[in-house]
Amino acid sequence: MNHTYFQELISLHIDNELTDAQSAELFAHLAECNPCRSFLKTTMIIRSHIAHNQLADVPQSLDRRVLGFREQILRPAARNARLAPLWWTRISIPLPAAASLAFLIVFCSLLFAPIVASEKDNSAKPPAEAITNIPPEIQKQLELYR
Amino acid sequence: MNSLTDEQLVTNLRHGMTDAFEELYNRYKRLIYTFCLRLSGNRFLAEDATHDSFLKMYQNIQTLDDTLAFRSWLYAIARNQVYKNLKKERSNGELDEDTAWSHDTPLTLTESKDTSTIVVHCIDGLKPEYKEVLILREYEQRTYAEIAAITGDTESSVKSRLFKARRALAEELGPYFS
Repeated sequence: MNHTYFQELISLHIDNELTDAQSAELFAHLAECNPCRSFLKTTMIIRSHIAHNQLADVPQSLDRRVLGFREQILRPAARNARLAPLWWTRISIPLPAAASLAFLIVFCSLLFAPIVASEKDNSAKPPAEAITNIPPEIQKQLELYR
Repeated sequence: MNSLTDEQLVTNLRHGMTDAFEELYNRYKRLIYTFCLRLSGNRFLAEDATHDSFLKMYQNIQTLDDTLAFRSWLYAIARNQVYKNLKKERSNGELDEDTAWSHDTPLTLTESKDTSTIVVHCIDGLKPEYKEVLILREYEQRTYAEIAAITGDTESSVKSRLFKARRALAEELGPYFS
């Protein structure tokens, strides 16, 4: 006996999707099939318990998020008036891009650090010509100062 | 605004009347949140999915062909959003066609709970493709055609999945009820 076929009919029956002919065929089978009667009974019990379930309460945070979106996106004037400060803005960068950027910064700092350091050393000493080109009266004043 | 039909609100929203968005949100928030909650079994995920669904609803409202189908369209967005969020959370999303359970639902663990809780627990344990049709049919009272529109499937597939879901539940809960 093909229980699967009749149990599929039971599933359609509880959704009121059977034709009269299919209903007659099903009930003729149910009269003599205990497993299929049991399936119908269990399915009906399950449905009765599901029917008692109610809608869940929506969290207030959801209202704030969705209606906040409405304020910010749907009303441009309101959005401009309520722009978040820069330090509140979350900057989103993909991980590979962030890693590449970090690598580039480290690499450049290592590459250019000796050049910058040597330039600093050179800039600390005045060029020899600059000393020799000082007018004699200023050189005298400098001597006195020393 | 309360007296307007969904179709009128959708038309108003398309014309830039932002109050229509708030009215549609208030009208559907509990339905969509509850649907997402039942489908995902996680209230944080349900909240995110509901939030994203209403955002997408607004962003894509111009693409809705038939304003009469707004409800099914919104449910379809919510359903896809739940799966998208679930996919993010699960590393192995492989579906086994042979079984209807996503994880074990041993009846012994639920002996102390009341019957309705046990039924809900068992439904939660079903695989998503079976759970979604059962939720849409039993909780949301959607027709086969509507479920097919929401899930992007055929009516015959919906009937088949509903039957498999009910049979899986009956096999699991049969001993408890007998």
